[in-house]
Amino acid sequence: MKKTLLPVFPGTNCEKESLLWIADNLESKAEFLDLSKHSTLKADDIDAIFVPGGFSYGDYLRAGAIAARSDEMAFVKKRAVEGVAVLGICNGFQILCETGLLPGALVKNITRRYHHFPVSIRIETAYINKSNSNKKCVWIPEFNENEQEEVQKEFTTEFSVPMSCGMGNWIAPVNESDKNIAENNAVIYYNHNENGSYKSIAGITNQAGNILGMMPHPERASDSAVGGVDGLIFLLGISQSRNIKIRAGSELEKFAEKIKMGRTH
Amino acid sequence: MSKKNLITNEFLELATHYGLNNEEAAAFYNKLGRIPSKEELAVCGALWSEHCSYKSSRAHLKRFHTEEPWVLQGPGENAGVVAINKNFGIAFKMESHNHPSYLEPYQGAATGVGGILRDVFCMGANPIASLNCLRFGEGTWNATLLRDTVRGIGDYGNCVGVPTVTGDISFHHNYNKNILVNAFTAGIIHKDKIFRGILSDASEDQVASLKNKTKEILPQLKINSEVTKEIESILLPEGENILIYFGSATGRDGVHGATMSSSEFSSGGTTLKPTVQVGDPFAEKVLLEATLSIIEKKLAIGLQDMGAAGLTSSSVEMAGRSGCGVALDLAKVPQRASNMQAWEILLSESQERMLCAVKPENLNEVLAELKKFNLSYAEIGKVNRTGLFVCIFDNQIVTATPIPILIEDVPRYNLPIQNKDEYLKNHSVIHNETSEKIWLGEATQGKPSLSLNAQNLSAHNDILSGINLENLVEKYPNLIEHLFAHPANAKRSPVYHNYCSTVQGNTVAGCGAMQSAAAGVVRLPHYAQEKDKNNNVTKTGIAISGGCDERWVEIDPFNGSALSALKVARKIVATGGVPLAMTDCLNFGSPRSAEVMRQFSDAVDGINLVAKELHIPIVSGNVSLNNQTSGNPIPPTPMIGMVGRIDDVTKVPLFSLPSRYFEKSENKSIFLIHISDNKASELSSYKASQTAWILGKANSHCPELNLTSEKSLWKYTLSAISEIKPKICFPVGHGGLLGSLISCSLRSECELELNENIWKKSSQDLFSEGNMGFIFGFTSKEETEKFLQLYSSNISSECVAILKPAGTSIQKTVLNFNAVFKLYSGSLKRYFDTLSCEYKEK
Repeated sequence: MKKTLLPVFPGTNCEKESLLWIADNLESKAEFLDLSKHSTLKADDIDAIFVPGGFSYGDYLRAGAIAARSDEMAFVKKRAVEGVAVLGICNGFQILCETGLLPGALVKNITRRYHHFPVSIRIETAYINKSNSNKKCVWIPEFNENEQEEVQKEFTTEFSVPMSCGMGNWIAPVNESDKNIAENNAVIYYNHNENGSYKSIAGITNQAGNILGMMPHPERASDSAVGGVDGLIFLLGISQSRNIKIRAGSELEKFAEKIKMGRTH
Repeated sequence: MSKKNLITNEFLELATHYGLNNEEAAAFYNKLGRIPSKEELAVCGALWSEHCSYKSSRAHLKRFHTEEPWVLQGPGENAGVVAINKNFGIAFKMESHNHPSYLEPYQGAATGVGGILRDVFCMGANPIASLNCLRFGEGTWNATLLRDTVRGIGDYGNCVGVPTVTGDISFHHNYNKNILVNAFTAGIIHKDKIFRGILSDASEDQVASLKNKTKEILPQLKINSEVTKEIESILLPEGENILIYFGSATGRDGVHGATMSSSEFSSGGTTLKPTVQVGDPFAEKVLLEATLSIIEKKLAIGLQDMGAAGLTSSSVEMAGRSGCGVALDLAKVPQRASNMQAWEILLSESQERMLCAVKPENLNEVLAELKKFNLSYAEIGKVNRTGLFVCIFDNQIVTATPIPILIEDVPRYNLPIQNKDEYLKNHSVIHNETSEKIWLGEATQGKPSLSLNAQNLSAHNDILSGINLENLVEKYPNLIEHLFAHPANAKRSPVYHNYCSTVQGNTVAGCGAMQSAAAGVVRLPHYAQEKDKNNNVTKTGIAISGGCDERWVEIDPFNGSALSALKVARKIVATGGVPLAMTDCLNFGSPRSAEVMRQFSDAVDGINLVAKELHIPIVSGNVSLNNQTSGNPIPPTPMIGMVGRIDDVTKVPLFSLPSRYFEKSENKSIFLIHISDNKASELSSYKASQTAWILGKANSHCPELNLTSEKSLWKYTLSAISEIKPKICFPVGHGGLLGSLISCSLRSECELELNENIWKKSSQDLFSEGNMGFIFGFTSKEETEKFLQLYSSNISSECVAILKPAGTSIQKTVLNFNAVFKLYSGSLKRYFDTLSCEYKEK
C-alpha cells in the first residue's frame, strides 16, 4: 500500500482528524511526515500529501510563513513538482501559497476578524465535466455528461462545509498574466464570499492540476454523525484520479454509492 | 507576650501589601514562631488568599455530594474525572477569570481559557470540548467587554485546537462593573493514566535515613543564612526527585493575581492592570503536546500547571499532597524580565508554565522530550525531607516555611449568615435597574452601547391579567419583535462565530457547527471507543452544558440554585444524554456580607440536593468571591457545568433544523409536541420569567422545585429519544413555551404555525418558566402518533405547532418572520462590527 503523508508543524491542530479522514476512507497508509523516515520516498511510493490546518508556528510573521520555509515543505515541494497529488486545507492552503506551489496569498478576512461557520461553496462545473480537458484537478471527481446532472445539482451550486479562519481572504498575484492563470485555475468558489476573497475564490489548483489549496474544511463534513458528508467529494476525486481503493464499509463508500444511485435515477 | 512586641506596624503594613489582614499576619507569625521574611509573607499571602485557600467557603463546600460509583477522581485535584466507558474517563472543570477579564477583556478571557485547559491536560487528559458562561451588564464599556472577552476566548481556544461547542450568556445591571467569565473544558483520559499533582511516591522506609540526617542538620537552616555544603545535602539531596520547570519564561505579569482576584474592586481599578497575564496560545499548544507525551511515556512522578499564585502554589500544593519538603533555587527559573526579585518570581502568574517532578533516572529522557518540543526548561529544585518550603535566591535562604502552615493551617472562616426568612423577605421582589435603551437598530452616536432596557408595563400587566395570546398579539403587534431584539433573546451567532466548534472532527452538535443541539455534543475520539457485544465499534459521546439563572438564585438561593442546576441538566437530557457529574463555579459578592453568605450557603445546599437526588455528583469546582464594586455585589451566580454520557451519537436530536433542511428533504413540515408535568403551570412562574424581567422590570416568585416530576420527565424523554429518534428536542427555557417555539423557528429559519388551542391560552402560561417540560419535533405524522402513545400518568403531551419551510404562507402568524429575524440576528452583531483595539488607538 502506498502512503499518504501529512506534514505536521508545531501549532498544527487538525492533524488527527485529517489523518483519520484519509485512513478511514482510502486504502492508503496515512502517516505524519517524518523526514528521518520518509525522505527517501519516491513519487511512486506516495498516494498523496495533505497539509492539514492549524496555526503552524503560531502563525507568527504571516500565516504559514515559517512552516513554508521548513525542511518538510522543501520535501513536499520536490514531490509536488514530480506530480504527487497535494492538498492543503486552511493553514495548509496558506502554507502552499507561501511556498509558491500555489499562486497568490491569504490575508486578513475583510471583516478583519476570525470566524467559523459552515460556509456555502460550489465547485466550478468544468472540473466535474470529464470531457473538459482544459480544467482538471486530481482532487475533483469527473463525470460523463449523462452522469452529471445529480452531482451538478449538489456540488456546482451549493454545498456547505465548516470554515474556520482569520486569514482566509485570498488575493491574486499582482502580475497580470499570473493573475489570469490563477483565476483560470480557480476550482472552488464561495457563494457569499464572507472572507472577501478576490472573485470569491475559495480554492485553487496549479496549472498541472495536482495541487489543490482551499480554505474551508471538507474533512470536518465527511461523516453522517457530524451532520454532513459533502466533504467526501474531494476524496472521491483523489480515489478516482489516482486509483486509490475506497475502504470497504467507509463513509466514502456509502457516499460514492449514493452518488452512483442518484445518477441512475 | 514578648512575641507580640515583635509585630510592628511596619510588619503589618508589609503583610497587608501581600494580602494578609492583621489577624492573619499575627496568626502566621505565631505559627512560624518568628518574624517571617518578605518572601514568606508573599507566599503566605498568596496561599492564604480566598482564591487559593477557599478560607470563607470551605466550611460550606464540604457538604457537597461528591461520590458515585462512576467518579474516578473527586474534588481536590486539578480536575474531576468520571468514567465514560470501561477504560476511559472524562476529566473536567470550570474556572472563573472574572477580575482579569474586567480589566483587560481580551487577555483576561484568553488566559482564563488557557488556565482551564492546563488544569485538564496536566491530569493527562486530552481536551476534547470547551464551553463558556459569560455575564455582562449594560453600557459602552460592557459592549467592549462582550466583544473582547469573546474574541479572547475564541482566539485562544481555536489556536490550541479545542472546539468550543456551547455556552451561555446573560445580562444583568449588577454585572456592570463585575462581569463573569467562566470557562469549562472536558478532556478524555485513560483511567489508569490519571495523573496527580504529587512530588514523590517514595515510601517512609525509603526516605528514613535521609529523614534522620535532615533532623540533624535542620537547626542550622535559617532565613538569610548562606547555603553551606551541609545544608545543601539536605535541601537538594542526592537521589531525590528533581523539579523541572518547563514552558514559557517567567515575567512580571500576573504578580499578585491571586490576591487581586480575592479583593473587591474600587474606583481606582485601573492601577491593577499590570497584574493581568498575557496569553500565548501557540506556546500552550506545544506545552499540551509535550505534557501529554511525558505523561504517556510515564516519565514524571507528578505534574501541575502554574496557575493562580504561580510557582508558589504549584510547588507547595504538590509538596503538601506528598507530605515532603521542597527546595527551589529561584535564580534558575527562566526569566523574561530583568532584575526580578525573589517574591516576584514566586508570585508571577505568567502563562503556559508547568512544574513536574522527575526521578533522577528519567531526567535525561524528560529533558530530551522537552528539547524535542523546543520548550525552555530548567531544573529548579528538588524534593527533600525537611517538610519546609525553602527558596534559595543568590545563594541565600529566603523562605523556610513549614508546608503544613501554608496548606493545613489556612485560616477557616465561618462567617455570619443572614437569617433565611429575613433574606427571602428582602428579596421577594427584585428590580431590573437597566436604563440604556437604544432599540431596534436606531442609529447610535459613537461607540455601541449594550442596551438592556425594554420596559413595556402595559403589556406586562395585560399578561399578568391573563389575556390570551390572540388578543395580546393583536393589541401589541410589535411585542414579539421587541422581545427577540433584546440581547437576552437575540441570536448568539455573532458570539459563537468567533469560536471554532468543529476542530478535532468529532463535534456531533455544537454552536456554529454543521448541526446544533440543546447541549454541545462531541463523540469520543476513535481510540477511546470500545466494541459492543456485537463487536461493533461503539458510538459513545459526551454532552456538555453550562449556565445559571441568577435571578432565581437571587430571589430564592436554595430553590433557584437547584432549578438552575436542573436547567443545565435538562439540556443534556434533551440530547439523549444521561447527566453524569457536574462542576461548579460559585461567583458571589463579598463573604463579609451576611447576605452574600446566605446566598452562598443556600446555593451550595440547593445544588447539592440535585446532586444527591438525581445522582449528579460535584467532582470539581472553583469559588470566586468578592465580585463586587464599591459595596455593590453581583447577583449570586453559582454557574454549573455538566457532563452527560450519550450511548449513540447518531440519535442525538437537534434543537433547530440544519440549514436548508426543507430544501433537501422530502418532508414539508416538522410537528412540534410539548410534554410537561400535569401541573406544569403551577410549578412554573411568569413573575420569575425573563419576559417579566424585561417587560415588567421586576421578578418575584421563584418557580417551584419538584424532583419527582423531573425524574419522570427525564425518563420519558430519554426513552423517546432512544426509541423514536425525534428530529428535534429541547427543554422549554427562557421565554416559556411560546418564546421557546419562536426561538426554534428563528434558529431553524423557518415559519412557525401555532395550533389553534395555543392562541386561546393565557399568555401568562405561555411565557411562564421553571418547569415547563420539553419540546419534541417529528418529521412524520406516524412518529408523532407513536410518541403521543407513550404513556405516563403524570405527564401530558400536546401538539403545539408545526415548522414549515421559509416563505410558506401561514394563515395566522405569531411573528412576521422576516422582520423579527432581521432584528433577532442583528441585535448582538452590532457589538462585534468594530475593530478590537479601536478604543485603545484613540
